[in-house]
Amino acid sequence: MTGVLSGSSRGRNGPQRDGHGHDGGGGPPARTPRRMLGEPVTGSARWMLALAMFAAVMGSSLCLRVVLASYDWWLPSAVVVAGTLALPALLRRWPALGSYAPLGALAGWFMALTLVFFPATAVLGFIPTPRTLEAVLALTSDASNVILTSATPVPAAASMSFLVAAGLGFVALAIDTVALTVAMPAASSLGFILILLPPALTTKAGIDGWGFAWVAAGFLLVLGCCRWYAPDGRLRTGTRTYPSGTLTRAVALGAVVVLLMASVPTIIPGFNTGSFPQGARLGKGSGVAQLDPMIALGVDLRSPSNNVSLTYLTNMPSAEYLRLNTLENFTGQSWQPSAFPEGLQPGVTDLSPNPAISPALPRTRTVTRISTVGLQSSWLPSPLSVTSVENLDGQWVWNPATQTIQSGRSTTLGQSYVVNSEMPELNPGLLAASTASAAADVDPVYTQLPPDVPAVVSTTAKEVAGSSPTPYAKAVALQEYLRSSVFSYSLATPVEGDYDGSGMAVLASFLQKKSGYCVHFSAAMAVMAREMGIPSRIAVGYAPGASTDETAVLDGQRFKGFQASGLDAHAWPELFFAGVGWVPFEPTPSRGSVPDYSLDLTTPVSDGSGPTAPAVDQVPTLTATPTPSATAGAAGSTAGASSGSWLVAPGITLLVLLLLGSPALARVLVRRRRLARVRDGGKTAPGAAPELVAWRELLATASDYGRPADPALTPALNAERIAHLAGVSTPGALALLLHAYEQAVYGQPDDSAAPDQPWAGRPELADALETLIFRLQTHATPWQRWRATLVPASFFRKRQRSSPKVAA
Amino acid sequence: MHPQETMVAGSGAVGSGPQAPVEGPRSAHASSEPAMDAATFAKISADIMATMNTVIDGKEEAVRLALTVLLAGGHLLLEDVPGVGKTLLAKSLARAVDCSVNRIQFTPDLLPSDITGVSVFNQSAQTFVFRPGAIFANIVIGDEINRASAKTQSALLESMAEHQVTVDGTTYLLQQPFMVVATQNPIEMEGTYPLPEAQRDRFMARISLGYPDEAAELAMLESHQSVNPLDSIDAVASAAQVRSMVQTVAAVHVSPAVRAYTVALGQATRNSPALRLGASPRALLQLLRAAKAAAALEGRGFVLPDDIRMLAEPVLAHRLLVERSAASQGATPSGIVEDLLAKVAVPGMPNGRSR
Repeated sequence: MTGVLSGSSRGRNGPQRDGHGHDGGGGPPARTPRRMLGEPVTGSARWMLALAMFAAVMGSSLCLRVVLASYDWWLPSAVVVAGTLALPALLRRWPALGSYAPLGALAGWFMALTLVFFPATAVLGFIPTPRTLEAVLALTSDASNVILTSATPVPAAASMSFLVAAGLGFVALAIDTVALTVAMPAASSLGFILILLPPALTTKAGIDGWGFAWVAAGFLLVLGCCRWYAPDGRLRTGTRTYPSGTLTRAVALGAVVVLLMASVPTIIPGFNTGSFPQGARLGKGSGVAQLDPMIALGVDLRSPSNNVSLTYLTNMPSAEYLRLNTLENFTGQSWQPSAFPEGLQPGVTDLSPNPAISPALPRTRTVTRISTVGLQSSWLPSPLSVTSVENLDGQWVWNPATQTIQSGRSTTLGQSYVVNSEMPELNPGLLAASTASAAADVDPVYTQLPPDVPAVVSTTAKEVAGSSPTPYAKAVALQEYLRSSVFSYSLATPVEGDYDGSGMAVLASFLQKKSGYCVHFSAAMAVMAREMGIPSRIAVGYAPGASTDETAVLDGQRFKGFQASGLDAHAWPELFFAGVGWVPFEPTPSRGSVPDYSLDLTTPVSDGSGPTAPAVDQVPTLTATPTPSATAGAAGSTAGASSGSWLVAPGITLLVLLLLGSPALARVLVRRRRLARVRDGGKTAPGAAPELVAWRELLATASDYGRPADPALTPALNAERIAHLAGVSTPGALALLLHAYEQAVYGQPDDSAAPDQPWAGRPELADALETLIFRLQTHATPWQRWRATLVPASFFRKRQRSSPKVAA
Repeated sequence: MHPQETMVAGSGAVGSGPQAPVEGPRSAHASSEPAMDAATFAKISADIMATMNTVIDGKEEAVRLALTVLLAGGHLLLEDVPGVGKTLLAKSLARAVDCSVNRIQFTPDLLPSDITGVSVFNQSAQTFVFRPGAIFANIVIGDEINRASAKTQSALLESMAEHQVTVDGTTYLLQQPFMVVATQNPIEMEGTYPLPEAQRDRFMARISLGYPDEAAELAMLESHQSVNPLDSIDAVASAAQVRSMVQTVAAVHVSPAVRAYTVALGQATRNSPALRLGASPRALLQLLRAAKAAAALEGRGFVLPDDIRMLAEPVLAHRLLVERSAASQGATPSGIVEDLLAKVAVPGMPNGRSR
């Protein structure tokens, strides 16, 4: 006689009740705009898809490592890709906005790029302004310069990072749009092919196996996740029940794609090695194409990197100028390195740097032990006049014409080597004695000037140095002129004045505006020296860096330690004097240090910039005091900052936001877990019955919105209060939850179920719960909504066990 | 067939109902009636309430409560000023159910034997024959119960509590269902014997009808001016059906949480400083039984705390005695029950349900 009435029949809605509109008349009309957005899509599908795409794109991007010299581009690119994917995922919450997801991706792309690369030009750091556009154009032209003038791997200049990040962002946008908005996940392979193109087209080796594996894995991931989370182009809402066969189909499809891609090389002629056509290069023809070092230098200096590039120990009492490369081929458009001579043999021992110098001159022997830390270059940093290099890995070639050491394959990264160098002891007397014309002693490339030298250059040169008797006096006059207070050092002026670079037109602008940085000063001095008949070239490398406290004693000699960072990147002119050889000068105010042989002792330098260390026991070498920037570099490096400084402010902001948002995050996680439990059941714990969990979550949400459950009220009365709070006038979702809860707590127990049997899921309860949560959200005032989101009361309130324990 | 109605008044004239008194062992009780299925239960209960509502306008709650008490096997005390329809409510319930009805008009000279019955010597058979009193009916309406002497009241009370009558050493069982609907006039108390606490405790619920609202009163004036509304109604349920409905109610599930809530309420009345006398265990038992009936009337197979809450005032208030100090500040039993309901936590969300 039991159970005749068991099972609540009080207005119980069946599971097949329509999920929408059952309380459509409940809200006031003011809610209409929000309702127009449609019922929000719940569940993690959107975010899982975004995450999958992010992982796929960033994983695939690893195949770019053969194109770019370092991984500096990876983190900025990750931020840009994340930004590009996050916004559309957000928009897809509302079905009405879902079709605008590509616009969201575009906006996310722009804003993330702005945030990472041009925060200074943007509003709040991420909203682009016209100035951002200008900066983008400038950086893009830099990047195209780099691409056109350099061979892979391209040095990771800021412009290249920007280009790669923008490209990856675009790929993410394309994949997101094609796979989700257009609902053609397989076509998203186009995006991945875009990633494959640069290494395929520009490197000799093409794409290596690992790079291809990364891309293929990324594509499979996107494909699988799309099948999984968004079958038929529609986001799966919340549920974690998968139709059988989806996974199998996805795997099969992916396998076919991989097979096809792998078999392409054997089927189509022309694919000989690697999985893609191996690269011709985009640079200029054969030979070692060169990056325009001047531009790169400016870019380096403008994107201040505190990373230590190299450290060295020297037996000199002060720091040295370390050269990487020289520029002597002046076309009028730019300074370029001269062509690499044919027929040079590898080997860097027993070099003869200065064959022209008379052996009678006293010489200074210098030993420098250099360790490269963050510098990756195919040019070896070394002092002038190297006689031998020891402990160097890889094949390196000595170019006697430019006195530089270069490698086709090896790089300087992680090298530690010892350089012996030998310079004649320079002093004003010796240099002043060199009056013979040096032009005959050197290659014409060091003296050539383009035909259209602007008048301002030659007239300035004549005014400054025309009256000086000797080439040495002329050189000193030019240096003094450039170091005088008329000129100012500025990294920004040339960019703003649109005369960055080293061409002739740029030079004219520089001489008029009298503001620029080392590129301009050294180029100006080099050109004007040639005007005066002195052979000249520009050395590119590192100015004397900051002292580290490291010391060492070797063979009875004291060695002092120094370090150079990206901020110490520098260019300076070297002038040729007959019988003496190449002599460095320092025309750039406030950078480096003026060599004392170039100081006319009778006319002390009056500009006062760059305190000059007194010459120590007449050693004619480059003496240095750490420049402020170098000190800053040292400080930065000791702090161990390994990432770009642009990350710091957003990082701190992110951290603070994360901290502030952690209750919200925790609350969201709790809600998700509960919803999943209600939907899927599965647990066996008695308290984990879906009905109880659903009710708990409902009360918690109501409590978030300022209406904590009254323990003295029955569930029905509490439900009434929640209905009032949510503006629900008709039962439906609420009644469903209430009755399920009442049935579970007060109803006839189901004797047939085994005690350890897991709870069955109640998807209709989860749906009802989500509907109600949405109703509560929309019915609340904005302030309540914020409070419920950021300071969820149910999270902070101690969970109340409102009831005495009931013996079950 | 209309239920029989017998007037017992003044001198104690006793009318006999159509159903013979059942003598003998208790096993003759109607507990063998099968329980009823939910749909039939819902239909019959709805019919009964609808029928009663045609007679009494605007008193749906009182009607529902009366039926609740009938199905819970309890007795109802109607306490209100004259003329608001106390007797009409009792009569309409009796008419809606096809069963025997006796009405006793209590007066100071009413004797206990008028209620219980008396043994009369049958000359021809040379034996004593028991003539059943007015209590031998399914529904007994006791009008102005407080006008009878305490002795007479006690006779009624024994039969109410025990569902049996003992006369001259012989125990006679009463019919099922059995329900006493007593009315009491709270004003004009002169010369009356107010029900002592012990007697009030025997009534499952006490309700006040109160005045009807304007619309109901207008309707009442229009419909009741010429015809007796009771004449137009027919019985919609048989006694057997009511018996099986009672069985159904008995089968309603009461969860541990609800039992705990009931006990917590009872404890609260006993611990309340404003009350001199709290709810007795019997009161709690009756509260739970009434709640079961209410749940069944709702079509539910289990009791909710809401049922307890809804019935707490009618079931508990008339048993509670307010402290003088509290009473002087205007506290009433109903108000105190209200306050307690707002305080006592409702058990729910147990760590688990037994299964």
